[in-house]
Amino acid sequence: MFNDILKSFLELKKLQETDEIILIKEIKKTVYFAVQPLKGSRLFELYSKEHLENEILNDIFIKLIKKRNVILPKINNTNSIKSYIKFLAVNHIKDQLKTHFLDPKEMNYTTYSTTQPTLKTEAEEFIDFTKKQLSKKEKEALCLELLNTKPNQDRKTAYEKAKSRAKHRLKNIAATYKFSKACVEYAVENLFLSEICKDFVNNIEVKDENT
Amino acid sequence: MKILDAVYKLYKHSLENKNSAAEIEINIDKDNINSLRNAQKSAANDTSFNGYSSTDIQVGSLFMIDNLFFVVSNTDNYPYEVFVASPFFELAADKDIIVEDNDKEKWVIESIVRYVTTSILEASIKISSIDEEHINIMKSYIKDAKKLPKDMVGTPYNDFEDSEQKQFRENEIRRSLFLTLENIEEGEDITDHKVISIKNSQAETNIINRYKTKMAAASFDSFINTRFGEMIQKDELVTINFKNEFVGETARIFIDKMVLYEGVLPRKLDIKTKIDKLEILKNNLSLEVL
Repeated sequence: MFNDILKSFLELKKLQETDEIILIKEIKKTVYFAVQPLKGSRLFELYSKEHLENEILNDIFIKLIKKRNVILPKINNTNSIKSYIKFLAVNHIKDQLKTHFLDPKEMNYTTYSTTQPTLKTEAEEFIDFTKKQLSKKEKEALCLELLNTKPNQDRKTAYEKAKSRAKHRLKNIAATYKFSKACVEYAVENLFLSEICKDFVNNIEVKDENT
Repeated sequence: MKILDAVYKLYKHSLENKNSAAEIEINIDKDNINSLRNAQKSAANDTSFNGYSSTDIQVGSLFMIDNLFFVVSNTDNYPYEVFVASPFFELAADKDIIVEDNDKEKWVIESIVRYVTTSILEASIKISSIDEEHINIMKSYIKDAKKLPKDMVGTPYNDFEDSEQKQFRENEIRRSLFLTLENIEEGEDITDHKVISIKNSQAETNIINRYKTKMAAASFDSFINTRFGEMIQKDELVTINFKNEFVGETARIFIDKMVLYEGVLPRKLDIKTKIDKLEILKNNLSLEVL
């Protein structure tokens, strides 16, 4: 029954209202269970459960229509279809979780709880990723730039390449884990020297004294 | 890290199958019905739709079965070789690559090789495609030990730390195992003897180059005991006689990060190689029971 109604929906046929309700109920059931792990998260502090469910539902309707060419060949495979709907719900939730987890500026502060993390906390997360993903040379190049120090002439080309790779890597980290521009700027201005550059700062000072 | 912790919890929850509808009341309002109708209306003028998508099996085809994803990596042999994939690209490690599909959605292609039969594919839904170039990058990493591009990999982790990436990887290996087992059911039995070769492979060349000076000093022992069995060398053939507890286990053997063998361990495995020092070979060989 569900499969037939979904097929008609995807083929853009007009549905009876009773069929619309059956289709919505079935999809909303999946959304209901997908939203469960968000209990206690910041998303539930910002939005009502109902609002979140309806937002996800809307997104699923649009995506199902967009992907109707892949769903229709498998329309009789109920398990596959339901798994796919669940995947759409979870993906939407994951994006929302990352966006609202890490960008305080998008949040409505009037509904914010007192346990909100600060920009510093988000920046510390960013620094953790940076420490793990940047190579030693890339970190050194960024630190030289921060300290307004130039490398020796014979290292200039390698330095420029490392700096370029490092900046590209920072952009990648920010995009993958959805760190805001404000967070990255805060990290670079306030945390880089103490967290990333401490291994290089003394070496750089020694070199300066010698030149 | 907090964000990885949140994403990992969502990942674990997504694998659960609690869906007993009778216990919950679902409310529908007019907005829900309008959303449904608007979604249809948005497609009414869409001229890009040109019928059902092809279900042909091609390299790069991304499939979903239950809550497991895989991308086809090789169709030359049957069962077809695939790499496990996931939309939880945030949990990617530095052994995996993060890519976009043809809908610009992000995925992680994991360095986990499996095999699928037509019955698996019939039960799966083909949801998207990934550029063959990206598949080739992962192939080169697994088969030829070529490095993955640094701007495509996930976050590295240490084996001794219980990170989200490590737990994610272990979980993905475990839950995708049924794909490999499917392969075994269709004809692969526990055998007494198998022969494989790393001769003239990139992995072999890497090891020989890396250990040039050490090779001369390395022991000439032609018999070494390892945790998984004894290794014996005669000329260009190394034989591993597996301990009983390993025979019949599904495992992967790595040589210098390259997958040398994946499948059911026989009693005896012959490896053809030009590495003439058993000690060096043993130090670059590792075994992972799946």
